[in-house]
Amino acid sequence: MPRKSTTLYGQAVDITREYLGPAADRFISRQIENHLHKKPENLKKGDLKDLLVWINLAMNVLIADRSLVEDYLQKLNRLMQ
Amino acid sequence: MTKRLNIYYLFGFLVAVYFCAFLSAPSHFVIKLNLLSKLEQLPLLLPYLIIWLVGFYGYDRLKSYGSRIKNSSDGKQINLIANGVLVLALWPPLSSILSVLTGATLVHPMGSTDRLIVIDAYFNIIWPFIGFWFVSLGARGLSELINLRASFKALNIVAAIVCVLGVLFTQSISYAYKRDPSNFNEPYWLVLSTLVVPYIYMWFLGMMATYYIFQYKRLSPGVVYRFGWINLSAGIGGVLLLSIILEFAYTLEIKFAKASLVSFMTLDFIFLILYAAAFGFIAKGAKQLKRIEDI
Repeated sequence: MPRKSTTLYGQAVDITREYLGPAADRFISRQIENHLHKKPENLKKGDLKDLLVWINLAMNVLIADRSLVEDYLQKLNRLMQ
Repeated sequence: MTKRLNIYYLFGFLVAVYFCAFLSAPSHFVIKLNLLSKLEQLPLLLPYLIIWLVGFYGYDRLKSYGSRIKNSSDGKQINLIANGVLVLALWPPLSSILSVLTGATLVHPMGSTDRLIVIDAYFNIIWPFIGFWFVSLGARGLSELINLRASFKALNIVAAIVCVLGVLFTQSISYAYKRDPSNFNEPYWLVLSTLVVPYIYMWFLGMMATYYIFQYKRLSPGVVYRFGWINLSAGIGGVLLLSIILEFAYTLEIKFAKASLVSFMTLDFIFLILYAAAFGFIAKGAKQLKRIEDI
């Protein structure tokens, strides 16, 4: 049973793992570093809105199934609350 | 990029060596299509070169994906599998070059009764064995990442298939040996211990690796990640299973059943096309998975 992450970054990776498996950690790190220009562990709730825009763009390139992308983004959205 | 280009240089080098060997070998050693001159036979080789190239391309894509994630736990296993895929992609060209050099028939080394066929026979065990070994190491590593333990049912099915194949193979070798021991140039016990046993062991490795890879595709986390693995697992499984069928079919049909040249070449060509298709699936799956890492 994997441990639940406590950091925001870890929680985002946990959610992403359902979709990208072992690539989740690398994917989220890349989005944060390349687009938000910060270290993944320094991710704050205020960064999530921008991050979701980039993740939305990336996932639309990767998956044709829009409902799957929506489902994923909804789960990430909950992290903002 | 340079390393990847080197693979295509290697392909070019192997093609050049093959053509040199083909053109310089005595024609009766090269091919039995005596109606055609060597130059007339050259266009017949083109499909084979394309098939070899697809194998290299499949490796190139998989290695490119593996290099991209080389520091991660799955990346290490992918790179092991890619090394095995390279060895298996090199197998047809090296086998063909060796065939021409040792005076066997053009497309596969199992068609000559020449003494040098022993070299061919052992090459065709040792070389794919290396490939199977790397792939099975990587496949096993992937299965450990998802804590997969082979089920009792799966182990029994694989063991049963290997037993049946092994008995059929041993029986066929025994029949061929009794009919013409000069084909082997070795005592029977040596044929059994150095030809039959390694083949059967290799088939077991290949089938277990195929099982692990398909289970990894089925059970690894990530809907999108698993989607990329559909093609990759089909490709790797296809390469392994076709290698097994190729080894079995060639050994039995060509060497021992004395099949006609036309049926031999047709069978060879069909299998090689399927083999290339499997490498094509590897390339497609690796490209899909790499796209996740590029974006």
